[in-house]
Amino acid sequence: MSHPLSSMNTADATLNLRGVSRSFGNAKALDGITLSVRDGEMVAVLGRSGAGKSTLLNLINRLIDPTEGEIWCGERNVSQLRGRALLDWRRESAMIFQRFNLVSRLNVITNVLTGRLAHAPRLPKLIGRFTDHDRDVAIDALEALGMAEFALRRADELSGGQQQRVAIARALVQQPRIILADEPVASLDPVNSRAVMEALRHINQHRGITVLCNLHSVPLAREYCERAVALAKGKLVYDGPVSGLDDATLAVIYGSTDALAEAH
Amino acid sequence: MTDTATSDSMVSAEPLHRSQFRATWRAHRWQKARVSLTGVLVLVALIIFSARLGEVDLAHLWDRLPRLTSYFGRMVPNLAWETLWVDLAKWYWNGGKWLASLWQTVLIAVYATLFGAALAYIFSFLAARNLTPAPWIGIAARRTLEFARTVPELVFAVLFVFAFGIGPLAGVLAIALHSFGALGKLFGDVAENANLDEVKGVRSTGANWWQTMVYGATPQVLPDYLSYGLLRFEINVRAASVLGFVGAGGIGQDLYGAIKSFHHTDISAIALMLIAAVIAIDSLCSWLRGRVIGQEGLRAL
Repeated sequence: MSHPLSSMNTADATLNLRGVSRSFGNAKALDGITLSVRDGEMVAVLGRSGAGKSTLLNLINRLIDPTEGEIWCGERNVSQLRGRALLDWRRESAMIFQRFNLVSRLNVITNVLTGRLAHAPRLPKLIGRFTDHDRDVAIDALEALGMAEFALRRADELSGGQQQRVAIARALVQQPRIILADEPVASLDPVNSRAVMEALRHINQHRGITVLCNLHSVPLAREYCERAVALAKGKLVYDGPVSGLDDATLAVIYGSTDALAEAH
Repeated sequence: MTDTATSDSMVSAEPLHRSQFRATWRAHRWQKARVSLTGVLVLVALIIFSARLGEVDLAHLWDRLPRLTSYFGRMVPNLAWETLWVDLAKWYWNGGKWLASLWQTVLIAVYATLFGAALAYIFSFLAARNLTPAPWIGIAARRTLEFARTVPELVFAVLFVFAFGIGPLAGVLAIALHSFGALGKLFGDVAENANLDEVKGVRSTGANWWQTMVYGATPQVLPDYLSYGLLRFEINVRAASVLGFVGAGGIGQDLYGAIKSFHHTDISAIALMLIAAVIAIDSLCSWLRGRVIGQEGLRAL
């Protein structure tokens, strides 16, 4: 695998953010982010709470819109997509959340099948009629994550680690180009954290899906990712290989040595 | 200040702050009393005024009270123990017809609740501030619901009887429209409390708005919707029994006929059937609602 660094040529990069900003009222959550991510990369996004990591991923998925700047994917201006094209883009950029965001009253397989809602035909799915193919894809994904035996259990009966694996299965059946993982292990114990990070790496390496992963933990970033991007107060303060994350850089990212200690 | 000084002052003279506070306290009490007194006076004046306006006359009420009791007296059928069955049969001489009307009343309520609830289900998500596809759609939906529930069923019924003729169709439409407004409001409030994380999870997959509502929001709100729907059904059975007065079908039409033609024992016969039916349906619904609320295993889809 190539080692795309900050000096890479942006022309052939898949995902391009060009001067993207996002404000909430007067607060600027993201401030002029320019960033390129190539197909098949696994990138850690670091930064303190409130640095804008979640905003960044929500912007890429277009759950929220940028106030300034543009997001491009290849030849597509993602920030201008509307209607069906926008929904298709959301399908392509699957999200995984810190709190899993499964529908608690639905069973596991139906939760995974929601990842197929954006695949044709859409209308019959409104009344629960998924295709046999949809169900095959869903159970395959659950099997791959060791969750097939829980298919008919209600989502809220599962442990956190199990729920996150269901959430990854939901992302997988979307057949995404990119996975946006927003603090996927922050609610999990160390063992489950490793299981989830392993699953993401496996998906990245064997299916060639780009992974953008918000992380609290620098060691996890060093272990599972090649490239790190860091935000501080909405600004991009680092973009390079994880090996470049020395103490001086971390001090810039985390502001103080106390906060730095938290990150370790 | 030492201990001796304090106890000294307590023995000799009251401390100044106490007497001062007592004065403040008295002024405060007097102030409160004046406010209450004014309030009571205003209330009494309003009651007298509204009694005049509403033509409430206690003397008249007392004079005419016997009429009410004699009306009730005339409604009591002649029942003798020896001829009980014959008398009962006489009382309920038209029982078969009334039972059919009662059944029609229940059906009016069933259909009206189903139609009203189905529409309310759709509108609740449009109206909920956190789920609505666009703010202006939310405002439009809420105004529509307000209109539908502000206009009483009886007014809708008169309108529909005029448009579609005498019969149960007018009743169904009238109650459905009012239920749509009332349930839409309640459903919308429930939907505004939905967990948005779950909705966001479905939305992020590229599901469209309707799909997101069905898979992300509906499973959360379904038990509450069912419970409110059953409550509305109870209310609608009572509403349906009255709508017959304006020709909108059901037992109300028979009751109105009996009242108009002074068939006093018919009135009591129909009223008793109606009360029994309403009590039975109310208890059934509250039992069902208890089950719905209590049942955590409820699975959607």
